[in-house]
Amino acid sequence: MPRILVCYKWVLDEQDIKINPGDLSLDSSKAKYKISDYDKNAIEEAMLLVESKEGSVDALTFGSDKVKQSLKDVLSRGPGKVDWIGDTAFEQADAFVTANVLAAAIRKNGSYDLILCGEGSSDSYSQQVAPRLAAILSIPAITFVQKISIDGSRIIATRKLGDCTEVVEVAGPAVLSVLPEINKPRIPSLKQVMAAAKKPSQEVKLADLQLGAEELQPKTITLSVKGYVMNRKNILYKEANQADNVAKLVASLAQEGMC
Amino acid sequence: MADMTLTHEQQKLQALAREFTAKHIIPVASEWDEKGEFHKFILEEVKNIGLHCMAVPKEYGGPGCDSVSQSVVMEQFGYGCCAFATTLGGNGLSSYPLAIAGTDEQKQLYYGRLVAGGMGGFALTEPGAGSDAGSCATTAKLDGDKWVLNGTKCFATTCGVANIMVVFASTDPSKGVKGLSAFIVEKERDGFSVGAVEHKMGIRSSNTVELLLKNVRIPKNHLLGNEGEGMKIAMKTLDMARPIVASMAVGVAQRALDAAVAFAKAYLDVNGKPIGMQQAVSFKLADMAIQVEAARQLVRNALRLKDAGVPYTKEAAIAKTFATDTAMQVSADAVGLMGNYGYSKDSFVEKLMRDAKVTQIYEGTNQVQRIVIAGQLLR
Amino acid sequence: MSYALTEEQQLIQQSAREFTREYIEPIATEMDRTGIHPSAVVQQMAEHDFLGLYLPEEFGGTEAGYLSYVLIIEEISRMSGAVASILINHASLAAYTMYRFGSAVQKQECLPALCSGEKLAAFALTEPGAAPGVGSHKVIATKEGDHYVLNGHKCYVANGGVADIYVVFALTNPEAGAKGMSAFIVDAKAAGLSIQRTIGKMGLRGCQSAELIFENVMVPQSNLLGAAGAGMKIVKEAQLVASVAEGAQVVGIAQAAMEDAVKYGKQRVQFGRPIAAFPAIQTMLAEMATHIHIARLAVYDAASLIEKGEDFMKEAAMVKLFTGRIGQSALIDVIQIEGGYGYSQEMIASRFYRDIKGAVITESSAAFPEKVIADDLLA
Repeated sequence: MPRILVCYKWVLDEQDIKINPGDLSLDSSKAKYKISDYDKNAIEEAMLLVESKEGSVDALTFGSDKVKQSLKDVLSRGPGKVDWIGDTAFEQADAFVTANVLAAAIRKNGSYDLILCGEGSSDSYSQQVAPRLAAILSIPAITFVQKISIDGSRIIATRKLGDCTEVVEVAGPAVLSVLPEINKPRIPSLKQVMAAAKKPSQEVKLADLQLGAEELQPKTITLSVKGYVMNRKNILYKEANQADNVAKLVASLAQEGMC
Repeated sequence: MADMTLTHEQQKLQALAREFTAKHIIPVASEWDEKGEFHKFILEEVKNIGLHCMAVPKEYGGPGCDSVSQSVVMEQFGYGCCAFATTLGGNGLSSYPLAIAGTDEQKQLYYGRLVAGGMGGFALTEPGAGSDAGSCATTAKLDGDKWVLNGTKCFATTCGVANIMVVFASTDPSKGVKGLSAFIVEKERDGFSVGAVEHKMGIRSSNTVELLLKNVRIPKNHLLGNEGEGMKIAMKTLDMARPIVASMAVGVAQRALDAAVAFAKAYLDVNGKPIGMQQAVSFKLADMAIQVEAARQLVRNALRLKDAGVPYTKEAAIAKTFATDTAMQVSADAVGLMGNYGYSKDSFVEKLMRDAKVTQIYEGTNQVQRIVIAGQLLR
Repeated sequence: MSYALTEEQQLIQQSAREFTREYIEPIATEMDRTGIHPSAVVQQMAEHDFLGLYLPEEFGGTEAGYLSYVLIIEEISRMSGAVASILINHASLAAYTMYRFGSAVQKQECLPALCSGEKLAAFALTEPGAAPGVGSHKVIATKEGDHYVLNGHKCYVANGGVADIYVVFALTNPEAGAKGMSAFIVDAKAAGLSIQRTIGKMGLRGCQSAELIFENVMVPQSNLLGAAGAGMKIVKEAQLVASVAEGAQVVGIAQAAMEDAVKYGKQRVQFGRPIAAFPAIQTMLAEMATHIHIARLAVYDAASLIEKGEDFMKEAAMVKLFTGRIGQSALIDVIQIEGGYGYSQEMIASRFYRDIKGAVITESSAAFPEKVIADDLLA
């Protein structure tokens, strides 16, 4: 009967973000929020684990004041309750701050056999929060996980490392970060969506976590965020004979290492 | 009922075309639509009554029909099947450049093939050059006494089955529109091939293909008019073709109206009365009839101007726009009025609605017609 | 869009969007080609609680409200009008009729299976009689003891042949016309009920239409829905409820088509600039965007009235009237913008063009929108 916690991030949908062609600045004025994609895999994996083993799944998030909008979404995907920290400090938070906040909330609110995170977030994708969280909580961290099984207090995970896989075993509790291929998140049914409204959510005030100023001071300062635009080469082949055009195209592609 | 605005000869031609349509086109049009091709025998049949190359002048062995006569026939063919009408209309269209700019020798060649039963094609559009014909990327270069053509044409009507056609190519790409020229190309020339066949939502049995021209060598005297006159020839050709497309559209609209009227008389509501007795239905039918009749008379007016030898560009564009909009509206109204029956393949009106849409697009989109009309108004 | 959707409604919308991408997008084009009922998608809709989502929990529904339901229809329609039609015929026409007019026993017996997806339902109203030479095949219900015996034909029954249960309209008193029509719940397995044929149609292919034959079909008196003679009243209300969902279907199809035209208009370069830069194209896009926006508000408003249990007839009829006009004109313009490209059979715009017509058809004069609105104004 494992008690599982899933951490998730409420991010802007990258598909809605436009790049201003002039200064390459990002325009997110029309962007909607969503649960970070890999975190959906973490939530799904937690649900699959308790469906076969029983147990419980809670969710935890740290975000801006907008993060409240995520609660019903996450609850519709299965977790029984959600704790959330919504604070303007999030705007400047890096992985260091985020891990500090999440760790403090976990210490304050409960104990878990397993903590699941997505491998990285859809926006900044630092891949640091899970290992940092484990370090602060002084428990094992397993990253790049593509398969999990629980046997009593033992957690057995398969990690994907380039061309090979590694199977590791730890005694819980532990923090695991999962890869997208671990599962295919289900689309919530309407009954789940409707039931989400009746599930509990609890706000955790950042001030109540008794974190020092240093723990809330980001180590990494973002200087700029700009769109990356691949410059098109706009080469036109204008030979009279199509075969010559094809030959030139193939030669160009070969030169670029494309074939 | 005889149409008293037509001459006796035109009435006879109309009756002939009507009979032909009823006998040879209507019974098989749905099957052609389903399969996406028409039976070749229909072309033989239409040759038998001499209506396969109406625009070819008498001195070249054709019937030399006046424009109104061509129109009344094309309306009947459009009534039967817009795709078939498009095929024959394309035949006529392809011969107009000859009438505009052809030498006697060129006419002998081109008309000769049509009179003998060959099909003509017209290849103007390219992947990058639709309404903007000046962006033509197909080139023609003079090499000794031959023109060498290279490029790809698309949405080329009838060209997959045609054995002679007018192809537009740029003799001087640096001049844009002013570098466009028109050429006669026979199917058997080396380097000429038919590419992908277009699968369309409507006019499915008309042949629409991609043409691939790879070092196609044609005699120097296959250039129509002078170098750089291609755009002028194309525009005049489309002037001539617009009322014909409009005539087909009138035929489509008339068919839809007739189908809706027949339905309104036959289909009984739950109280056992024909639905045509409901004012909501009868007024709709009247609206449809108003549009169809107005469209027909606009077309006839433009053609009478043409046959009288006076400018008719604006009137042709107006007729094309109004008649094709009418075909669209009336065919959609007929499907709506006939409900699930009209929407199903049990009826043919759903085909009319699929076919009608293309008439607003080809031979110059109705947006291009507005450019033409406004250009005439504001000059 | 500032229409205040609740968090649940937004989540339901999001679920439906994900659902559509996951289960419908991969099959939509192929389904249009084959016309085969997508049973796997229907099964998934059942598992995601789409089939009974606005019905009360006591009958196995999700009680998410009619607005949530039309949000789902809208999302599904952005990819497939046919799947939306399957759902509308099941949930708005058949299930609604049973829920609204059924007895407590009928509701307990029928609705849970319709909500769970164990059974699919259909609404059998239209009769043949329009096709030349077919004559009338009205379904007559003759009382015999504690049974009615049904004889006749029903045509163009959506979900016909794949449904497990039918709401069938039959004349219990043929002399009384409209006043003699009644509604029955008929099991698809009832002896004497057979599928004559499935019927091809212009669009919404995949939502199977069939002709049903009733030959001495014995229906227990307890399967009569509402009172004998209440058929017309039931038809009117069910069709108006459905017309709000069909309005959402039109909005979804038109929205997706418009987005497709925007994408095309930005890419397609003519006369040296994207065609979307031309005022003529911008005007078409601006008009359709405006129409779609207003239609969406009208749909949501009418759905809210239904959800609150308030009088919705006039507003539903307004949805029907308005979406009928703007949906069709939007698709005519979308194909116009995309030209020969959009007219191609393989392109999604041509499928939307064919589909939207099916979504705007008014099948019964009982729910003729102008009449419903005028009756309300003049009451």
